[in-house]
Amino acid sequence: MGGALLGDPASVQAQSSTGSATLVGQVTDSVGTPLGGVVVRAERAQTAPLGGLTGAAGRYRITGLAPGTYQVHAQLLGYEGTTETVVLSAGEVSVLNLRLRSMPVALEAVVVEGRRDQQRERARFESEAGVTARVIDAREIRLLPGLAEADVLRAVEVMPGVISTSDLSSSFNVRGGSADQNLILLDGFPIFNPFHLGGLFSVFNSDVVARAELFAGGFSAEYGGRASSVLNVETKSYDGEPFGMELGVSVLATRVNLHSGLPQRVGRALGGSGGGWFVSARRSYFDKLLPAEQAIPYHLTDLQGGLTLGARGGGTLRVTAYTGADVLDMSDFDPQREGDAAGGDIFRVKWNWGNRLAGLRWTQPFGTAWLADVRLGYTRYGERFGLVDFDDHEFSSRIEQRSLRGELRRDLGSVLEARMGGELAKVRYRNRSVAGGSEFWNTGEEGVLSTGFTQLRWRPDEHWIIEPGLRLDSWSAEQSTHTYLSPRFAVKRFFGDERDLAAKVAAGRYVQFLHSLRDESFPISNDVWMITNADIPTVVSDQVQAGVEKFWGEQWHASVEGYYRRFRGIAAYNLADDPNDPSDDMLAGHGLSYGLDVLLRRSTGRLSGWTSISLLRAERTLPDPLADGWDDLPPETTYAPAFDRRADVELVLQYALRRRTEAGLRWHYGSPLPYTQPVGQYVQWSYDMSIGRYRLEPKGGGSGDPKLPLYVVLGARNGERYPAYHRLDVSIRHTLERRWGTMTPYLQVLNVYNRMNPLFYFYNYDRTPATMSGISMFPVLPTVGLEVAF
Amino acid sequence: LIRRWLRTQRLGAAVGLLAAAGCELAEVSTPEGRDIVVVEAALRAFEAEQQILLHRTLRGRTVQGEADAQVVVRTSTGRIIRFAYDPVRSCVQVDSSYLSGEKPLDVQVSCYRSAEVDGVWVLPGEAYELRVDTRDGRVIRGRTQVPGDFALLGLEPVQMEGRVPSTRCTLPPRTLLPVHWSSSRGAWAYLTEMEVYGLPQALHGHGIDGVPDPLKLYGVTVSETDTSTVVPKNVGVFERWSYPRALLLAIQNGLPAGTSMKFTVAAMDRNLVNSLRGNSFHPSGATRISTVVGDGVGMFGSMVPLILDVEVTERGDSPPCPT
Repeated sequence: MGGALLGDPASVQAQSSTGSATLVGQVTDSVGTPLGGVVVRAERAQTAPLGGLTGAAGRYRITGLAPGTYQVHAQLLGYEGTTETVVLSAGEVSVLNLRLRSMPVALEAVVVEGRRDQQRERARFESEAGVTARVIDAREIRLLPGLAEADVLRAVEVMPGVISTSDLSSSFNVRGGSADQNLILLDGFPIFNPFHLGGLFSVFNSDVVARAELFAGGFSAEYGGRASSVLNVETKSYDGEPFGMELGVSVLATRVNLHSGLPQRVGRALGGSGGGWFVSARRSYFDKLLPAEQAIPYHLTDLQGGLTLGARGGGTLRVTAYTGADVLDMSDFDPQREGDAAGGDIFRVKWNWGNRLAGLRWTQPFGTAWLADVRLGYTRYGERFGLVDFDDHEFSSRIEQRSLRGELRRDLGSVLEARMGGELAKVRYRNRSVAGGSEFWNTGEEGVLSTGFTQLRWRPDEHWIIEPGLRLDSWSAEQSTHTYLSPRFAVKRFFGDERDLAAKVAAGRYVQFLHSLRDESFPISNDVWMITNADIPTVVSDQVQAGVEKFWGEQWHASVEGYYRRFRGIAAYNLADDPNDPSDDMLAGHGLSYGLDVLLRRSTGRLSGWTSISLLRAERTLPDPLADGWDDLPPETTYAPAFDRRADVELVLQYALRRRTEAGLRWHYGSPLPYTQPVGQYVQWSYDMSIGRYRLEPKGGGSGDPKLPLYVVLGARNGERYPAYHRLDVSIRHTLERRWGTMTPYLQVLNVYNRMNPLFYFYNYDRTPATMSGISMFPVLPTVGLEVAF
Repeated sequence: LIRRWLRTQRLGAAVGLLAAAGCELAEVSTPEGRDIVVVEAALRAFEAEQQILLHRTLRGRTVQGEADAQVVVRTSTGRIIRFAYDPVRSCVQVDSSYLSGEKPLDVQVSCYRSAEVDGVWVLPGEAYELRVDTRDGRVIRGRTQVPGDFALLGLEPVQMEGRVPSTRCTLPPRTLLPVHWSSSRGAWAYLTEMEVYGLPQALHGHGIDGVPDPLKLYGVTVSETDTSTVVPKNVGVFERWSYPRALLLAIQNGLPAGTSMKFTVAAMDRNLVNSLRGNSFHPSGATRISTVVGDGVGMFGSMVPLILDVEVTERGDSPPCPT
């Protein structure tokens, strides 16, 4: 398409002459949500059409139109197209807003969805300078082979720059950042620990997920709070859709999703113009289905809801709510009944953890130039661990955040767009442990984050986008205030008439006032959060990235991007802290990472997919609290963190075999990850305090051939590496159409060629010869499931 | 300490899940571990005779000793205390189950003792430096600051020269004993140890197998100012995975009649606490923060212990415990 229309209005070239007309406007869906990537064309008899794609805010501007009558067509796959007639006079700037209605697509829905979400990436490419955004849509998520059922966070692992260190955790690291430096949002609201089973599964029900968008770097001033990445998981709006239900059964859980568009009269009664809702629930059933003697008293639950309402004037109100829990409750577990040889040795615990989230988001355009976005949210994560038989033990951890965020966007003329806004967030946490009747840890406090930002997007001509931004974060906690000014800057240069090749550079400072104490070298564990105060450092990360990106039509997309990141204020738990000194609980260190991410993606056609190569080098440096006073001990230790995977290769292929059968394949290669090798073992003596003697005696006074209690002497921290990781997964789905709906049975096979990727090694120096054993990650693991949609 | 312990318990549960999810990798032989000297040196205030162990990291089932090393402790006043190698009298007591069976353990630990003529030289509040020179030229050093003196409240101690202060009282059966003590300056934690004698007989008929005699349980209170506990309810924190649940529940709210108990509370310095609480998680086993530097690993720490002997009976010879 010839192009005088260039995405966002500000991207238009200044080519209109005094005699030509200009057409501007915004394209939204039926509830007023701006639609990016819409093809808008202005056609007139006997002249070539002019047009292009709308930007992320749904805006378009067509310049250089000769006076006359035009048919203006707007099309977006997955929506009904619309056509309006407009008469333009010489020199006139005419406003034409267009609204598209979503259209359920039965035929080739696969391709339609794919294209729509790839167009979002394309829209960002065309309209934004700095951000590295990768989108993965619902269909891709479903087709990516996963453990038991589709999982959004597992799907994120396949994106360039993202490292996952274990099959057993869906936690991830982006470009050398720690896992707690990823801001994970559900419809724009943060969720602290979105994992079940210590990371094995995410809390997101894939049935309601529309897409996941990862900002791996270069994000502009409106984003903050985490230093490494932003992942926004967006749920479906179900706007205009009839009532429907999806039911999913997997070896993990059963899930159900009820959804519908809002009837017009309900929408009107609520003061709006339509919308949709869903309610989704999931529960595992290990504890219910297995025979009593095999049942594991564990279950997970998720309950999620969403309501979208079109407000007057093209605005949208959106309500998001989630609550979920993991529960391991052994209260009724009777080891005597089980006849276990260990008799009463079973240790009965009660352990639960989970998130709660509630959010209200209002987006409202004012005229064609202003757009307001207001969010009010509450999010909480908590964990509690106790012993059923001994009431003097408890561990609990809780963090919650209340936030109010407002943002205004404004077009300032044809080449400049401004965003400004602010956020107030109150964060509160408490971590407590009690044992043996004593309270050993009870830390908790409240912090208030006040943020203001402004971000400009300037398009001096069609080849350049320049984005200067500034963010001010002020954090107050425990009578200390930490204020940081974070400049952001990005510039992008397009090449060629089609503007489908661009080079960009982005730099910025990112700060973070939260830390998780989770040990990243251990694959399954929960977050324990703490906030910055006078003793706990703020993470400050300075980052720069540069890259080249190219689209070939709508089918192919390639990107190469290098980055360098420096982190200060990395916090780690001080294993040698003084119990009399609450200020030394944490160690403050620093780190760096640099690397290169390569992506080649094919988005349309029967065969789609991508391959990504991520090269990374990461380092962390922490002070050694034991070195104080010893000249022969280095004051700091520098090491490769657990996620220092130097090379990571992903190949994802998705193929529409026949009309209703789809297959997916993922092959993943990861270069060796670091671990700390034991270099020796020695006897762990018990010390008899009453007589001052060393003893070696079986723990628990058992009989027979007792296990020898040993201490491990550790070598250099993460000084060795496991073998390289690789794994092939496949999935196949077949949809059966019935009068009442569809049934989709699916088969997934993880680790098809049964690669024994090591999870841990165990060294045994008490044997002759010394031995090394270990356990692997997942072996070959087939799972089946069924999805039913009414 | 407990925070770490609780984390370990949570990790323990998670390890079970991991083991269930993965497969065992084939066991392969690997080069022997490094030959490292290990020091175990816990100075006890008020004791006339101090002892230090030296040995090496394991070579198969052999714990090789470190004979004829020069072991010296220097006091803050510059006094030098020399520890003599004692090849005759062992410092360690090894359960016979380790010395027999398919893979018996060969224990050749070297024991070093201070001379009785040096008198009581480990005193609360004092600082000491350790230096070990092995025959093959390795040098290991450490420093410790003994916590300050403290006392059990409500109980009159019996102080004997060269012995740890102790006291005695009588406790009615099935009664909880709250124990309070004064603060020990500079203590990082208080470790409590409870040795219960006569439990197999006292619990006979309760259907609990394998009751040891004595039953040894440990507890801890962390920080200089956390100076109370309830016995036996709050003791046994570290053994709840090790002993039968029924046994631990049977003594939660008091010891049965006919038993006796030796209760020790020790104020511990930084190094002892660091040695006990372990280092970062490692799948190969327990780790420990070494509190010596140089050509070896291990511990050089200090403690101030106090002992309370309790007779569990309605009427005993000693005065009643303050309940």
